[in-house]
Amino acid sequence: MSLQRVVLDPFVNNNPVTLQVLGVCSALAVTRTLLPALIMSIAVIAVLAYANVSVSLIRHIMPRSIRIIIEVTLIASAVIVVDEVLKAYAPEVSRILSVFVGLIITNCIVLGRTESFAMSNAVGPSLLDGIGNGVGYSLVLVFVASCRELLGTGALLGYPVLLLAADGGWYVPNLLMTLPASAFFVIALLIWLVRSWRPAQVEVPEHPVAPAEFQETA
Amino acid sequence: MAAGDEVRWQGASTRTRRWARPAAQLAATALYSSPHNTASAPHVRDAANVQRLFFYFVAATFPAVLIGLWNQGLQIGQGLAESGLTKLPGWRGVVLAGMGWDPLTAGAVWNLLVGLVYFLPLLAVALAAGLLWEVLFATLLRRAPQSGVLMSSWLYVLLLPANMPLLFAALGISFGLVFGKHVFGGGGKYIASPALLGVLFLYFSYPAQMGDGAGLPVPGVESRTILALLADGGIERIAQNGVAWLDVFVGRQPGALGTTSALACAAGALFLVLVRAASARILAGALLGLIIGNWLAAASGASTSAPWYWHASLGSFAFGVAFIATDPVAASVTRAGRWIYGLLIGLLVVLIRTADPAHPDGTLFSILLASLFAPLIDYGAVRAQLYRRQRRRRALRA
Repeated sequence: MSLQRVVLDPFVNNNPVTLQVLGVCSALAVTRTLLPALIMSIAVIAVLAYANVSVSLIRHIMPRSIRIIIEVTLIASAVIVVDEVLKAYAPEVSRILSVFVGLIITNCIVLGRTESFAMSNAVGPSLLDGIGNGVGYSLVLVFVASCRELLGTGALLGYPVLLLAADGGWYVPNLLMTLPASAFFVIALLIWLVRSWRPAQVEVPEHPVAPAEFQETA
Repeated sequence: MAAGDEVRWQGASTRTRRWARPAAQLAATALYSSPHNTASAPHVRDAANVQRLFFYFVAATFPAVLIGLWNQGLQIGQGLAESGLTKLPGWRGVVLAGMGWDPLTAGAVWNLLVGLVYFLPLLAVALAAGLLWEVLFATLLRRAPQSGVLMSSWLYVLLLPANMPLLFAALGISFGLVFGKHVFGGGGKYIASPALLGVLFLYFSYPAQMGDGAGLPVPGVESRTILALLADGGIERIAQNGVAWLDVFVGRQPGALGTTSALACAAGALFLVLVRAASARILAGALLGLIIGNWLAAASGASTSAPWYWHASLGSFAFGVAFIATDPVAASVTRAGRWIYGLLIGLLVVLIRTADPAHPDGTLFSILLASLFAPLIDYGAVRAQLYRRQRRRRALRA
């Protein structure tokens, strides 16, 4: 696989959220407004790149039997650093993200990439793979958060875009979009869109319905 | 699913023909039914196809619509008197004034007309949006359009308040049909009533407009449902406000367009049972669940406890149980399953009304929850039946 493919494939063709349906929990929780989603994206990209590089560096000297423990330890230390940096430099966003920064440890994308890619590839490709998957995750997060903030509050990053009816404009905010459940609908629509655009991603139905028999009666 | 739905159009060669065909098919089958009737094994061969079954549900609501719209006119007139205004806002107010409506001298026929002026545009918008999605999905999936749009849109509009903006009404039914029906593969495959999902979408998206479904198009008048009174101060509060049970039972109470009359809903339910469109077990189960739940709530000293016949005629309970919970697709299908499904709805209604002060009327939530459990309930009922049969066989052999 060429290096270009390693970076670009996770954007659409092998997106961790829309194709592999990983990391959905945080995509539901932190996408009410755009700013926390952006910060979360940067955090995940940083952790993914770091985890992939460090696992790739020690992949030859790591005993197979305890590799998961080592991987999780590496990821957890990176997440703690990210959490502390956020608390120091962006305390408000850190409060909004609350436990979800800590939960990057359990984000399946991170452990999934270290296990499936960094364990068997050199440092350079591993770094690119981490960044690529992080960006793939971020694209989904930013899309979902933009939809939710725009439709739910009429603003983007806090700047009013659609004039609210309450302030004499025309737009009545859709409060469903401010509830976590709406992220399910937005992600579902996004997956629908991506799979219409790339039909190769459509899964084969597991339980197809047999066609009904018809008899002309007229 | 309407008979003949699975017939795929062959040779749709040009783009126009591809788009025009489902629309033409839809227009044609609106008046007469499709020549394709299922004749294979598990189905009853009968003239009553799915299209007719769905129409029974529309026809069964006619009494509820009549009384509901009359009541809506009455409530609007009272709201106007309360606010001191002389005419209604918006283009509907202009239309009514042009027709010569005078809220002070209006009688029953005028009340019905006022209700119609609010009901018909909502219905037209909901139907147009529903048909648009049906034709769109039929075209993209290259299949014939399915019946059920009229039923979904009709029941949906009856659950809306009179002051619902037309744009929101279109959004709600679009959500209900796309996310409630088409993503699951269309008619016959959905897991909860699309009309119900559309209303709940509005409930969460636009709570100011949707509210309890009792909003009146009179500025400055806050119309509170009797359930809200009950949540406030129990049955004594209702008595203080001078509301008589018989009035409420017949349909004189603030509420959504078609849901206020428990009497008319009961008549509609009876019709549905007689034509075998709805299951009497679901209806009886829901009423029994309400009575048991209410007895439990009263025994535990809940402040919202009221005689069960009050609870049965308040909010959208009667309408929801009669026409939404009996949805032929989303409800349970086994005998025991239908009892459990009905009981679950009745019990949940009382539970939400008693324990959740934020939602005075829990009917729609209860039906949604019970619909989601319907396949599990059916699974359990079938397993229990298989177990009993096995035990009988073993007893015979021994």
